[in-house]
Amino acid sequence: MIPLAIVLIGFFAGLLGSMLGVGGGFLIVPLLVLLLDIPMHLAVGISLTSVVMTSVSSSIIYSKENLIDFKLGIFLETATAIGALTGSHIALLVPENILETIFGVVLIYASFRMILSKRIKEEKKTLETLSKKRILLGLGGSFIAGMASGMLGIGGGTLKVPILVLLLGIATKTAIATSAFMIGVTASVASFVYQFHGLTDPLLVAFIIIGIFIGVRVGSHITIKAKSITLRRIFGIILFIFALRMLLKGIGVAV
Amino acid sequence: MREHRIYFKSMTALLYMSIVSISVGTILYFIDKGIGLSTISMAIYLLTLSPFVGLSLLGAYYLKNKDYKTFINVVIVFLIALLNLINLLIGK
Repeated sequence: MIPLAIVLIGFFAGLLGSMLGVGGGFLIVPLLVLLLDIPMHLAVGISLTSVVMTSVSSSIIYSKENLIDFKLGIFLETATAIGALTGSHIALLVPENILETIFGVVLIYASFRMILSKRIKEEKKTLETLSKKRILLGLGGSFIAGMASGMLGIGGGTLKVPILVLLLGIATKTAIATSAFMIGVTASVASFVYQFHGLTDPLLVAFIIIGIFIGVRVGSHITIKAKSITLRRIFGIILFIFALRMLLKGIGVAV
Repeated sequence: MREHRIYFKSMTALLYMSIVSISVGTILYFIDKGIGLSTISMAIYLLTLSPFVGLSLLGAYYLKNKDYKTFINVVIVFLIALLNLINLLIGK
């Protein structure tokens, strides 16, 4: 029964992760902790390895559909990596609850814009065709996303997709596919560290990966066929739940 | 996206190797716990290191094609990821 539950957790994480360009850690970690009583650190280690798996297998499918903008992804990943490095070092200087409140409010605003904007200007932009102003905005946004990741230990996808869509005006499907590619680079580093310290369970990961592999195939095909506005709204709702949880935690309300 | 073929060939190869190793490891686990777990662990290492291998090959590709701007970006991402990794490993 337990292996089946783990495969199902992997399936839903893979499905949502590939569909929305996020890692799925926000789903795996609480489910492992609450349903299977797994310690938090171990759950995070397992989740990170699963994120790498989701990223690699979604990237393979999306690259065949020419949906990933690799140059833009690698370019923005530079700023994210520097931000994550900075964030992990200055995390001790700023109280966590203040950071959570600020990011919570910003993400709630982003989620409303994703849900309510009927017409976000989406164009087939690439790194070469973006204006300097937008490139700077993207770099700044990615740096802040990286800092949030390093300070709060949150995944990158939930921040990367709104940056690509709202700040850079990239088409929703391209943003989701590019974000799915980018999160693999970020998660691989952290995942390796967790494994180095023995904070992973190979057998649990094996079962989760089976679920992820099936979920990713379903999720990415839904994204390829779905309308951009539908994807934006689903993403906006998930982002809203995620942001609300962060805001409530920041202001000290138990969730 | 022909230019990224080399990257995805390596990623796909590593992914399938990992999936095969994990499947074999899971079966072995029920026969011999120790051997099964070591096989699965090896597969997980392969999985997590695959983006690094992919980035190295992508960097080499851009260098060969004289796209220095993108090559520098790839190198920076790789180095920062590596630095972050070393920093986290030593920090713990």
